[in-house]
Amino acid sequence: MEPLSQARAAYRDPVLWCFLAVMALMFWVPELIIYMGWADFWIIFLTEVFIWSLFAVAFNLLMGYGGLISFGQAAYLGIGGYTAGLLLKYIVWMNFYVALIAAPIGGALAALVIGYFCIRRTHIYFAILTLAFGHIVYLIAFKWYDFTGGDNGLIGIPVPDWVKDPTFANYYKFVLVITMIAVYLLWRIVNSPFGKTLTAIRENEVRADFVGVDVQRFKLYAFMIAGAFSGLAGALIMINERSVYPDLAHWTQSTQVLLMSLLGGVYTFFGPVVGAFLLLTLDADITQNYPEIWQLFLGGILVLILFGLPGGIVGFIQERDETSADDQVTKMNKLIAQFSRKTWYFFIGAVVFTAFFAILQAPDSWWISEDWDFELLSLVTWGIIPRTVLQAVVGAALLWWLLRGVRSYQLLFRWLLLAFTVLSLVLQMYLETPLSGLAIVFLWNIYCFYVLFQDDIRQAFSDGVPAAAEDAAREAAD
Amino acid sequence: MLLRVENATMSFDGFIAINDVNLTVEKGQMACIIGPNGAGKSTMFNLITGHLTPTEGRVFFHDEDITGLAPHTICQKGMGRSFQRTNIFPRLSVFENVQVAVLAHARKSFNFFTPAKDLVQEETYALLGDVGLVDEAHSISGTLSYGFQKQLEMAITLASEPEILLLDEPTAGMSPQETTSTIELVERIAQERDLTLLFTEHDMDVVFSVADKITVFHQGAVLAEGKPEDVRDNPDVQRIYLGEAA
Amino acid sequence: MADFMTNVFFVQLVNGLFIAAGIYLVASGLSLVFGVLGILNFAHGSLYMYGAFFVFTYVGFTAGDFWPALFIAPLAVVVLGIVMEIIFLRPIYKADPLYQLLLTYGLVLIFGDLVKLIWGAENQSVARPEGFEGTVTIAGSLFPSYQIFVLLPAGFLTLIGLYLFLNRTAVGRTVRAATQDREMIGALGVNVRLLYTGVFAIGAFLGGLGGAVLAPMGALYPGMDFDVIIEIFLVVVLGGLGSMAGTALGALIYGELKSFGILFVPELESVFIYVLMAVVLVARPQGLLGKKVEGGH
Repeated sequence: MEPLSQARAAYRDPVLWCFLAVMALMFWVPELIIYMGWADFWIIFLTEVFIWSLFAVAFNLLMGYGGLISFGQAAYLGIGGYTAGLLLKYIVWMNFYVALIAAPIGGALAALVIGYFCIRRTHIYFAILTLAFGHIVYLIAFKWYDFTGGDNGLIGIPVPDWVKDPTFANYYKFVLVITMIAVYLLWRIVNSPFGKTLTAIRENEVRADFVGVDVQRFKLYAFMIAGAFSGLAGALIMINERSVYPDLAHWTQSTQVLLMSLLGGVYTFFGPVVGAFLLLTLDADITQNYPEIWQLFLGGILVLILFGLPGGIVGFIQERDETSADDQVTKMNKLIAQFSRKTWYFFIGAVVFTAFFAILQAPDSWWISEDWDFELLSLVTWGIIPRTVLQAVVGAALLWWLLRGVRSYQLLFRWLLLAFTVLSLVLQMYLETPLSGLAIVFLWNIYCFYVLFQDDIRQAFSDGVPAAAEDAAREAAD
Repeated sequence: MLLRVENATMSFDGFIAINDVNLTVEKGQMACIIGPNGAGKSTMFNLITGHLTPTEGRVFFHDEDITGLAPHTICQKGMGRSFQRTNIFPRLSVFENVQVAVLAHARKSFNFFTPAKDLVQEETYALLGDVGLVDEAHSISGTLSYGFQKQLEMAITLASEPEILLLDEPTAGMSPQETTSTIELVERIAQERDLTLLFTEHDMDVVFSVADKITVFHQGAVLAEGKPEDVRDNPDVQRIYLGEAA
Repeated sequence: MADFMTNVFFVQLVNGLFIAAGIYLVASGLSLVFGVLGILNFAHGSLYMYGAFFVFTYVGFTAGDFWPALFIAPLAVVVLGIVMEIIFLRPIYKADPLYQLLLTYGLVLIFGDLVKLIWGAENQSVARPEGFEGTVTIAGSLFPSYQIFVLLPAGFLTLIGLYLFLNRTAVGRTVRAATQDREMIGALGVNVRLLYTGVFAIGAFLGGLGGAVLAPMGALYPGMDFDVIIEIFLVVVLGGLGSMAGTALGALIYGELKSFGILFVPELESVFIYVLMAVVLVARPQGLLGKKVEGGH
């Protein structure tokens, strides 16, 4: 393609405009936070979410698109962090941006060497080899005092003055722009011929080989790309903390990013971003009160995903129960039945989560709130048990009635259901559910909106469905 | 001589799967390998396509020694292969299945930034048209019926514009109707594209209606070879193979 | 001078044996479970940790009675292992191996925090049993007597015991046949479920025994499972996944390398071991005594 027409194609790329729009919106969030008088913590927190999202998307290029589960991805996070950190610390004239660019290069080179040994091995062997090489990187950082500072880490790394502003807003914006560009590049990569071919390799390596694809080379390139972007993420973390410790390369970080991808959904591009956001908010909410059960919680989530949610959350939202052989009416009924089933899951999830966080926040308020004076009309002041029961019973009754309307394709009920989910969100805000609980209800909002406004379903609602279909819908639901 | 295997031997930890086999396929031929289960037919295919390297012996394609080359290199030289079990990319769409193969053949896979959906559309749809799958282009291939999946695999194989097609049991697990339509498809495509065919098959009706040369494998060695009628009349073949089948 | 060198050599050799015996005790269970069930159990390190902590609790309750704990703690771990196998592993035997790896990793996280909740986040320790606190002199060098009289024999007896079990008993032969060819077990006419649970129980016992024997030699802390798991993974993979003899060989090589590594590259001794093992795995992916994996599947 000619450069000019390529530029024109990029200009027409709607995804690029979406990225730019999101970036423009997010750019002013620090000002909003400061204006509203919220804690500066949220600016730092969002900065971390951006960095981890980048790391997770890069990791998922391997796991989701390449089918290569690396248990040592944190190694590149560490290499990126140490590359930039060592350059800035020991070379006096080192330019900040040069060091930042060196980080992904370092990550890619390390991935080239390590990947050369790992990519020939499949499945478990690949997982173990990446784990072993990742551990080597960690041990070097941990033990080589003269070079890396060992377990004391590298501290006091010089960064430009603008990074150090007291509200962290400058660095937030810097990270936002960099991660947006990086994630957009990754988006282009997974949708390029390279990305499609990589997916084909994941699906069927032998077949890909025998359509003439040099499988090893593709895997190595994917490994290097993931390494480069992970390295960049590592450097961004390093700058955020102005120090770097061996823990950055520890394999528990690798599994953290693995969990983010799994939680969000490995077969979707933005799943890891959702996963990173959810996991970090959960971390903030739970670690705040009960740091000792955080791993327990993570393990529980992992087991839950593996048994019940193999596509992750985004996969759960996007999945459509259909086969190409179905006729229009059967298809609609299946989709609506699936929608009503999943809505129930979300509802149960939301109720359980609210109760869970209520217990975390006020562990002794089982029957009656200890912190607040009880008022009949103020739900916040109720004890956890009566309030949860009330939520569950009233909510379930309403939801049952609404879903019955939806299953018979009444236009009004579609809107009512949407309103119901939005009201749930408002209720959670009123109950002061922590951010992660809100995030789950918000995902429910998105889910309802996403499904009910899909073209074919919208069509079904506005046309109405013949009476026969209505009966079938009821049968399918029973 | 399009394909020539010379004195190939393949042993796995002392077990000899292929024992000193010679095989030639000429351009335009419809060659078939038959033999009981475990006779070494699939191993032979794997030797030719580079999935295995023979312990001894050589493989020539166009008089070029291709022994020990990687499968993808051999594929790029003009060899197409279908596998015994259906071999597609199940979670990709039908279009993407074929597109990936077309991109690989056109050497356009190493492109990191152009959106793939705009590339090689014409070629991909032409191939889908050849096997009659245009209407299913945007279905997820794993949800297709077995017959459709086999047709899709054929389109994937054809994407690399092979001169010779190696088909491993193309009608395995098919109903009689599916068998007939698959064989018609193969014959039509072979004729249109002037393809040479080397296939294995268990259905003797198919073998004798399609093949113009038959090689009989038995316990890793060639038992008989020749025109269909010669092979049919060969007493050894009747005893070990056709006799059992009848 | 030459005398001194021989002496150092001897000391390091024996120290290497200590490390090897310890790591073998833990790794043998992992290897056995992988060989039969085909599951690479991340949570094996957790079983080891529970073995150690159970000893701590038992010794605490009985005010210093160590020896029965060597048997009781692993048995408690077996109970834990059987529950884990029935609830979590049974439903996923047919799943993708990586999926199984992830699931057992989830269990590691859960087990790890449960230890913190039960025993607290601080370091704990178990005193060496009476009569084994001191050292013994062998060929002019001093060695801790616990290592000489408990650890080494425990490792050695486990090795012999497993060998006899796998080669001389009917059940053992079935297990061995299963490690040779997992698809074949169904054809052997044995109750596969029972076999799997049984093997997992033995594996859990070995892991727990490792933890119990090693308990008096170092601190007990949440996170000791993480520290041991990579080591035993490497030992098992180095020896060859599914090969019991390979695991013993891997442990021996690991122990001696670590012991002599400290002598030659004191700062980067562990790095050195991992690099060496990675090189072996790249050259010989099936491990030293493992079966050849065809085409990397």
